[in-house]
Amino acid sequence: MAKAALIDISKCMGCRGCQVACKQWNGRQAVTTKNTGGYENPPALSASTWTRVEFYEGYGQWSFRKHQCMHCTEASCEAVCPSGAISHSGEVVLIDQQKCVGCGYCVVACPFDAVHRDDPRGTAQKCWFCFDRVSNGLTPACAKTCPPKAILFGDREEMLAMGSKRVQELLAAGTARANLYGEREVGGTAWLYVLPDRPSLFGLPDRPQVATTNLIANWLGGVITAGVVTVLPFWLLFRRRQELEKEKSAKRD
Amino acid sequence: MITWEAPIWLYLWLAGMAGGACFATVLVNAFSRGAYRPLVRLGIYVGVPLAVIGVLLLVTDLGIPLRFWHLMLIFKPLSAMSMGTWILFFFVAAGIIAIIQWWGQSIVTYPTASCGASWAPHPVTDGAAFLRPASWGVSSGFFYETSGKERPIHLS
Repeated sequence: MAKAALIDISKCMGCRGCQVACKQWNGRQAVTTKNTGGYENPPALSASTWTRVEFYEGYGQWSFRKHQCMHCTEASCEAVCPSGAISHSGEVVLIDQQKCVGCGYCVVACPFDAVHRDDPRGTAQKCWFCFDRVSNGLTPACAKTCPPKAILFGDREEMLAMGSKRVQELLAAGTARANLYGEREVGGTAWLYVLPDRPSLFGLPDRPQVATTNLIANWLGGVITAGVVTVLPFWLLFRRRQELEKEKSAKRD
Repeated sequence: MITWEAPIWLYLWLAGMAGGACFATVLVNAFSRGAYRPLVRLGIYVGVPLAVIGVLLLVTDLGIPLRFWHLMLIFKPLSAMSMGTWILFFFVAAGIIAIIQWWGQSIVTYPTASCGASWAPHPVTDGAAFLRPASWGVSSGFFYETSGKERPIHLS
């Protein structure tokens, strides 16, 4: 049975308990930081910060979104990884730290900016859905600690049902653009969001794309462009030269 | 936000020069019906070392450079980086084989010293004779144009 986590943005109060729980359970190092005038901290998601609450003001009220790996079914990072280090185990996307060469391709390919490589270790690292806890029947550390129960964890079907129900409640209460994010995006993600408005207001891509979507067109475009740009001038040059030589020999005759 | 550090933009420039040198000289030779064969050699002597430097730069840019061989265990058409690894590998391998073969030829053409008994295998000549068909297999027509149409060296 596929598992999933559901984050209800309308319930999150921005306490960042999930960040602390994540750091503690997974033994992540603290990041040197400074006051930048906002409440967000640490400064960014990184190889040692696997989850972080982001603060948004675009929606009518101050809102908070927990940012972490979405564990996509069609994962860009897995598709592009040239060393085969990234793989699915059930619904969880894992990075094999023994195989990773640290090329950073997944960092660029991820549509959610969830993978990072800025660690002295050199490998790419990200949220691993508390694989040790989940595979032993526990909930992820962040879900366990969340005081307002904005992070729920359980069977995917159940989470989808709860999410849709909550969206219906929000719609009924007058939140016109409430939606459930992650049900179908990039093949369905293991982290679902109940959003009160458009995803882009909370730093999520409105239409996330798998990095390899236009692969064949991109390769063909590159090869054809390179072919035309390099072959054509030489072909024209030598055709002209041959014509001139023909004319010369014709005159001589 | 993607930022390309010095190794990457240097590599892009070097790879462009390397590919351009080889591709352009091969094309000139092909369209002129073999009138510029020495130019092809020049193109490969310029291009292949540049590609080697580029590859070394790419390896240093990895998070763990000594694990570069992990990339040689996998062929993955979905990953542009995996395809790039193999394109660079075959480009450099074919180029180096072509260069070794020319060195072998040049030694055969001007024999200056006898290497022991006539029946003993000659390290350079016989190596080159072995590498020539191998290079045809590897380079599949790209370097064929450059390898000359002379008689096979072990017959000359």
